[in-house]
Amino acid sequence: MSSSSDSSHSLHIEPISTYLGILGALIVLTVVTVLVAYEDFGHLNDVVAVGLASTKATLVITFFMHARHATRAVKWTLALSIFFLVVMFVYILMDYYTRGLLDVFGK
Amino acid sequence: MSSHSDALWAHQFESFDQQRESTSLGMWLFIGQEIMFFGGLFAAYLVYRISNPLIFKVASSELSVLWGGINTAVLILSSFTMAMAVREAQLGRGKKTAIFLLLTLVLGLGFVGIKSIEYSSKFEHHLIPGQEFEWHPYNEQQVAAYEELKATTGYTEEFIQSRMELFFSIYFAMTGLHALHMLIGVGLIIWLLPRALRNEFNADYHNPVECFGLYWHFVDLVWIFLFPLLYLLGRNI
Repeated sequence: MSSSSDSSHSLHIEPISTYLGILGALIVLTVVTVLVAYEDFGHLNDVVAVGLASTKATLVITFFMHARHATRAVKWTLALSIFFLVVMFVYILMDYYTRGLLDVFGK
Repeated sequence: MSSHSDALWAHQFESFDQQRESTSLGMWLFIGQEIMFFGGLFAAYLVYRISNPLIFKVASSELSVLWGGINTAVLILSSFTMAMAVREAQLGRGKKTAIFLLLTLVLGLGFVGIKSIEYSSKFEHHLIPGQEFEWHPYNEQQVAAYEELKATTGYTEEFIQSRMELFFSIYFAMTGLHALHMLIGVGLIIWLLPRALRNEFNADYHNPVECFGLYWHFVDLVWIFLFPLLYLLGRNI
């Protein structure tokens, strides 16, 4: 069998400071999420809320889930999962909100 | 390399590296499946939210931002302790791995405990979907929002009740499935704890802790989206 040092060359151990920094950023972003919810930006409230949540999600995936050191296969799996989630949303919304736009024969 | 580590090296893999990359890919594929699983519920939320924007705003104000916010912080903290548990496992420190896993377990149970407080108050207020469901505006803001809703949209009281019930059906389906994931996670930590204490994990082999970490962070991710989408609508009305 190969030596131990040889077999763990792809292992990246993050410094604790990275994890503490991400923890702090996530807490701050949560506080911001709550505070902006009390302001009225009209439809932009949703955009801001989902934008902040996506930022938090990106931090968790990149650092806590080690995506930045992951193999290409893992990165593709993640990207395609998100892509097909969006495909599902888009097609469902296209269905629901185009119903009744055309006169359907026999309706 | 110790013989103990050799035993954890499955013969079909060329190296510990390849073994770790393979198990990690398998876990990510499972998470991809979980994304679509929760995605169906998010799609239901999206469709009904767009159809009933005003009613969902009033319904959302029934939820407690304080409890929801505390739970968000608890879950983020548990993600941090989980990341630390994986780190300690990578460094081969069994006892510290176990301590961080235990902290994650306690925070996870804290989350479920707070959720049960929230659920029981919904039960008392007849906000569980079903025969007993009956929503009443309970403060001045809600009464004003309710009157405005009826005046501007012309909705009947029955219609508003039925859409309120729809919001709570979605709320319980999404948070319930999420809480179920938390409980499964707690069970998995109980499985990992003795293995960590037996010093089974090191730089070469820590796949169970790493994969469980991915699962736990994913459950955290779902909540990061659930919190603003369910709790924080209509705070500005």
